[in-house]
Amino acid sequence: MAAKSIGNPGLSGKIDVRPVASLADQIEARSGDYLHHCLKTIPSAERHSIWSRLYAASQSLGQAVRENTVAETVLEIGSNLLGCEEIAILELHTDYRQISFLSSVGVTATHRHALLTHAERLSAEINRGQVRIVDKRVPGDEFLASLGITALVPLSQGHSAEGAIVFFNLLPQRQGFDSGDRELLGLLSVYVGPSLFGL
Amino acid sequence: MPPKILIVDDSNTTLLMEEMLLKKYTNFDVVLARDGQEAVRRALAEKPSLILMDVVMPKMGGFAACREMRRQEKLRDVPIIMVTSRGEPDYVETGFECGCNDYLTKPIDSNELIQMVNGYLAVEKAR
Repeated sequence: MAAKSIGNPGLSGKIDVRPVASLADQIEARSGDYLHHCLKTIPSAERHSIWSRLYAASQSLGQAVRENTVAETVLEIGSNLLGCEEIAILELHTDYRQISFLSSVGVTATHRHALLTHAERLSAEINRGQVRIVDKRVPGDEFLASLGITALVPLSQGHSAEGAIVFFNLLPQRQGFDSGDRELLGLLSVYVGPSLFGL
Repeated sequence: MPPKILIVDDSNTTLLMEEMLLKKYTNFDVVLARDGQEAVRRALAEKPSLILMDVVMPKMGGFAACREMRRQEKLRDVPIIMVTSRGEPDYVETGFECGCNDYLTKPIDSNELIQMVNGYLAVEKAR
């Protein structure tokens, strides 16, 4: 299923591009801040790599908002900047009992089935509104871990939870999500919801 | 004139990151391509001193492009670094069999990339 289209058809039927430009401008301004921080940090510092990934992600996301390719770009960021090629972008139904797949890559039939079967409980987890890096040893993470989820990024528009980005297995070279990844997931949490559901 | 580096990737995100890092932290001029076919064309036209190339790309993948470049007299000795999310030993081995010189796995560590590229730049200068 395709992601929601961007742009609000007005009375004239034309697409109002102003919200798109405004959101893209915000994201690109953020990207400029990340670049500034990156250039002020020595390359051998761990933060340098984090800043440079945040810069690339936000710059790419800003362009994606203008080009209406946000869902594809989220999957690309997941693969290239997070090392995960098993990702689903979900939309919550208004009754919070069902979910739909807006876009996905590499998600197995087993994982897909698990998400659909446990949609109501998963919706409740998404409604907590917190970026989660899942650790099955941590109390409260058992349910998400049982679905094979390694990270959960809630997507909201205004105060309403609209969906989530769900990450499954990481590539073999990644041992797990780290603190830098958490910042990147946070960036996605802030901007992807309004990009997919608010325009 | 500064030496050129050709970055080949179908991921806009990766191109943005690598282009920024190489423009800011090396003395290379940056040329971009988005698939293996374009990479071979641009490499023949621009004669880069170094090529960074993804593996999985549309039209022509990185391994095929690497092999094709090694068949071309002009590109035979240009160092090629494969930059890819495919870090499994089989992939790495195939990369070297195709003629690449180095292998970097994604997610890219900025310092590792800068150091590796500057290492090749130093060799280029010493020639």
